[in-house]
Amino acid sequence: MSATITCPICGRRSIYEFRFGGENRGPRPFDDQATAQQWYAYVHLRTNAAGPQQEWWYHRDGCGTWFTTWRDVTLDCEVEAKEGKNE
Amino acid sequence: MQGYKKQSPIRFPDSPLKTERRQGWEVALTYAGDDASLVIIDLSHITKWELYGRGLEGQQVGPAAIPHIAGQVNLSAGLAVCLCRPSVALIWQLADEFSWTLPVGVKLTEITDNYALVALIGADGPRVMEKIADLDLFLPAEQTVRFVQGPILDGASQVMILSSPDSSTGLLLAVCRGAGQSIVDAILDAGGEFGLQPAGEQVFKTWLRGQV
Amino acid sequence: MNDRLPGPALRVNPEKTIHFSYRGRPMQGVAGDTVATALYASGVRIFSRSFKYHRARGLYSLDGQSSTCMMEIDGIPNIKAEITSLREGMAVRPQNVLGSPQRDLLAVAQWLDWAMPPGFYYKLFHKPWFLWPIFSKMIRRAAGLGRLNEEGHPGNFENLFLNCDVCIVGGGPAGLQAALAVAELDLRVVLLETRSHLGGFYDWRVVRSAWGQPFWARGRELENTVVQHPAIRVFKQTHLTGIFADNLLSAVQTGQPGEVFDERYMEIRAGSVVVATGSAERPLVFENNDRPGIMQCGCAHRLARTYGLLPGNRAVLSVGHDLMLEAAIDLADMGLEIAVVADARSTGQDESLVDALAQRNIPLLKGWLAAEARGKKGVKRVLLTNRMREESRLFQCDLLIASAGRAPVLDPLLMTRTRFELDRQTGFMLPVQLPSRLYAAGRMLGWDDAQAIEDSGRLAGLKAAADCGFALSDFIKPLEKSLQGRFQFRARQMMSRAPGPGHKSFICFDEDVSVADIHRVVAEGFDSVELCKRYSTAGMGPSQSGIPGQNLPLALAECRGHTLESLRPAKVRSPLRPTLLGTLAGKHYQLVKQTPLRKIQQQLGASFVRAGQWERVQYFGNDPTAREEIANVHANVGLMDVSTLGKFRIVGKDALAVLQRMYVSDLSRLIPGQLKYSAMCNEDGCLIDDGMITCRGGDDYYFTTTSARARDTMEWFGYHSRFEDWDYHIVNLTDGWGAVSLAGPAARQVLSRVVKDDVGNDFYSKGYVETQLKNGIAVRLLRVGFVADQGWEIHAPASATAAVWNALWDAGQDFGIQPFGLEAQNVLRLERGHIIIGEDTELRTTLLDLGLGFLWDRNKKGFKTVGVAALHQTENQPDRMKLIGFKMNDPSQTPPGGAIIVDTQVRGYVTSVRYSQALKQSIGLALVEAPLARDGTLLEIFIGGPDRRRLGAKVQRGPFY
Repeated sequence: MSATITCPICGRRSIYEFRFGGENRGPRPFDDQATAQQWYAYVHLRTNAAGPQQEWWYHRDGCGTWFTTWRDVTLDCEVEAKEGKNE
Repeated sequence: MQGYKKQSPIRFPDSPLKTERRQGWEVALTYAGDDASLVIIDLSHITKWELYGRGLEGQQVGPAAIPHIAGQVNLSAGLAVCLCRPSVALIWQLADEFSWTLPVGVKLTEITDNYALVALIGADGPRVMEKIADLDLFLPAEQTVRFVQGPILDGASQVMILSSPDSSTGLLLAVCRGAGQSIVDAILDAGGEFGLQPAGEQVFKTWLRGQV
Repeated sequence: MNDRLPGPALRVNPEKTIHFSYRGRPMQGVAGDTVATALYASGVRIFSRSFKYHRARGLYSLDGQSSTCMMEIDGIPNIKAEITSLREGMAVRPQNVLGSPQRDLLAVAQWLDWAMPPGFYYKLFHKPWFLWPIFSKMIRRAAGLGRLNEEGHPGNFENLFLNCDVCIVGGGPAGLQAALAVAELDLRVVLLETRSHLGGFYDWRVVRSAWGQPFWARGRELENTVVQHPAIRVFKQTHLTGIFADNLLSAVQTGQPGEVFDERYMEIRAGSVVVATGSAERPLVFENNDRPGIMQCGCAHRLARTYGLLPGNRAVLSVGHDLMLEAAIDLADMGLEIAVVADARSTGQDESLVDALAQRNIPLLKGWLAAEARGKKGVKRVLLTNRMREESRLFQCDLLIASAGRAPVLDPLLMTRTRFELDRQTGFMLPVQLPSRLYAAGRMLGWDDAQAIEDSGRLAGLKAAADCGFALSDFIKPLEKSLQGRFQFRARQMMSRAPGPGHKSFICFDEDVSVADIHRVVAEGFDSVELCKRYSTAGMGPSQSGIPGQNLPLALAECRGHTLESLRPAKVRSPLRPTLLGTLAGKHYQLVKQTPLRKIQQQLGASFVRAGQWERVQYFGNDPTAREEIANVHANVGLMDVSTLGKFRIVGKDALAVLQRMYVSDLSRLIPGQLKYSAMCNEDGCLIDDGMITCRGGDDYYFTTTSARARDTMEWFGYHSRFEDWDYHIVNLTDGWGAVSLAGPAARQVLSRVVKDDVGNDFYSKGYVETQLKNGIAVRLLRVGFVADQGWEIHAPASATAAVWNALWDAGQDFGIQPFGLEAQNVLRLERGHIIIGEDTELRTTLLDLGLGFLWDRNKKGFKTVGVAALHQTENQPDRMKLIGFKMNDPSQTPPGGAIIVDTQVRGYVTSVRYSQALKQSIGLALVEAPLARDGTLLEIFIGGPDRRRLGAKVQRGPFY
């Protein structure tokens, strides 16, 4: 892969410097407030939209921060934030 | 009270000509290759600190202030202070001791031994690093110092890039201690074609004085 | 031999001789020669034999567009001689011949070409079926070109990683102007050029340019300006091998004599890219168009002007472009006798060129082209006809310069998402929609006029610079408009082939595929360009899409009666040029981590093993089973380097909150001096890490992890706290602190000799202590029982760890201290029933499956502890695997690790197993289905082998020792 990710501190870097943290699905629920089904959905299910999605990335080989960015998975490149969706 | 020897993680193929015992370290002061146009110097012994605290941005640490923006560095009187990421700063004591008071509410950890630190001094320094890592170590004309966090041979590293008036650049490379020898071996191999030689701390101190 | 035609544009130095050998015989060339031109100067005309039919092949192109000049050079096969610089002492050998290229015993294959049409191996030689293995061996041996040197070949291969604002592919006039436009703004430029000089198609032309100088001089002036510009880095003899997402380019550069590398692999990350790769000659297709003595126009012209070699004695030209008429005139002036020039165009020639030909008494046939070349081992006669083949004339010659016009070099753009359309006027596939930050310029867009070519280069450079944040529309707009105005004045091109069945009219030289073959293949149903390419193998040879890439779609269209608009170029893939595996491997610098005790361990005779990024000691001396090391820990005291352990400081107001989330235990009641063993789980409740945690006071904690997980700990903690605004900080001290493990009955006595004297009474019973050794080293002592009842980990700053080891070593001499390594540690912990994460656990074994449920504090609520939800849910699941210990019935029989446990079905597997000298038993840990996990259950372990044996074992809960 040759795509790049833009770290908010270090700038545009090769994607290999990062760890993918998955689609942004919000904070984890409390253990005692979610049913087994809800927990399963939180841990394993994804929206998987064929288009821009907000993702978590970790700059493992650099500054070590977790951040989110919007990426279009069909074009395999970063895009501007999608209107209306704000986590 | 230091009745023991401290060891650097790096060993060069040549032995130094002159060394000095300093706080347990055997610091190499001069090497036969000190006059080479491209030199590598082991600075693993210099004191390094990690600071953490909300709102430490902009606070004064001795002669230098902690930068406001993450990823930036301030260099003053041989003290390099970087803001790695929000609330986390790094201090490298490149010159001799300095006096400072810890800003209020800031937690301090000594990380001297966390890194192997080498200086690569000479116009061809960036050319050597180009053979090893894809990190962009370019210093724009208007800048005198730049701080880069990124991988060298798959290990997370930090590089400080300094310019100098005689247009030779200086690269300070901090890599995790365990990988130090491995990476120095790679640099020595890649630098062979440019005549890279190990040099002593005195070369670095002289060059640094030319900066500030 | 060194006589070369003088000329102002010469790039060779006839004064400097270079010696080499060909077929073992000494030969000479001059400085600046390629291997092919040196051979040509020495009179060699047949360079190779073709792949399938072993037809004679000669020098055809000087740009590596075909494999006619592939030879074995210095033991490396398949080197393109026409793009390889000649070096002193080179040993050149032809390949794919039995005998010599001149007299190849395998040339009989030509007579058998009827038996080897495209795809013959799918149809013939299959019946009778039992002969196929014999035939397939024969065909395999005959196929292939070069022979691999089994010993490998030496070479210095390097890497280069570049970052720039704009990367320019192509060092011709357009590329040079683009580079200068960008560099003027102080942006960083990298320029790649395949040839050993810049200037593109200017370099060998002596006619006057629009700027007053001859073209070659203009080219060299631009070259010098670019090469001397501080912001531009020029890489010659560099071929682009790929262009990937976000403008990452890969390229391979061949080292020149004197450079330290033979080849180097480059990766360039550019902000924007300008592709100005120019155009290549489109091969003219006619009968026997592959004979030696037939060459491209540019090849002939460059032989004369660049290398000082007259390409032949008497020439016939069959061309279709003004540039080639100019070449004819120039070659005639240099002494080449030209019998006739056939121009496929009926009208449209530049009148001044027509007059110049007439002045030199060179006949010009308009609307005529070559239909057939005659002569077996070289062209002797050429049959020219008019386009409809109504008239024909035969001419004698020893050189046929044949070209059907020009076609753009599209390979780099074909790798991107560029959309193309056929331009009727020029016959070029033009890029009509390029991805952002990618631009095309120069002759590849169909421009002929030199001014327009340079302007288009400058325009592309300005647009690329604008991407970097410069406001340049005031310069871009007028230039764009001016070029648009000149668009319709580009030269028209005519592509044609004299009518005929085309049995020996080759579309692909590499694979010996002719026009008639294409017709046959289409008749069999393989009628799309991708199918046709794969079935006929046209275009699948070493030159990839090069020569056949242009003519294959045209031949297909002609065959199927389609219009040209329907043409789409075939896909190309990286590498765009054949690349040695050694080049791709590069220098391959390895990152290997060493502990501070490396030298000491080496001196003690350690054998090292790779464990993740580290090198650790497996055992000492000659015994891989480490028997003495183990016995010594049981009897006396052992010392082991455990510096690779993860070590972390966590501090801050919310440090405890973070720890409570990550660990399953309740850590709120930790007090200084106490050391707690706990575990971390993933979201599925499965064990991922274990370690010790201690509180140093206030909000300051110190904890350890396994070596394997150390690198991931910061990431893991950060991930699970990313939605909180917690005030805490972790410092990774894994490298900064070293650690040694002191274990055995005499451990306390040894320790008491090295720590400072005033430690207090309950010192040795504390879990965690911070103190000093007698020599002043500040250390942290952790009371651990991993490998022995009595044991400590001594943590110290990495620079002092060797001194700690030495102190313990000296103190331990009276107690029989010996070092021990990973193998000994493995057996010792197994005897005590301790697990090793990753060996005895999987990502699907929960804390409870592993028998570590006691670490989980169920009453700890409200921290969203990772894994707890899953632990609740899986607690009572019936079909889970459980970790048990077992003892073999027969102690002398030790099953291999991973052996499966069976009854009528597979019920589990062995995770760790060893023979224990101390117990005189074979013991191990295994994961088995829950019903088999009760103490005392009999197990059968499948051994396999020819007798498919099963060994008996018994489940034993609790430690063995």
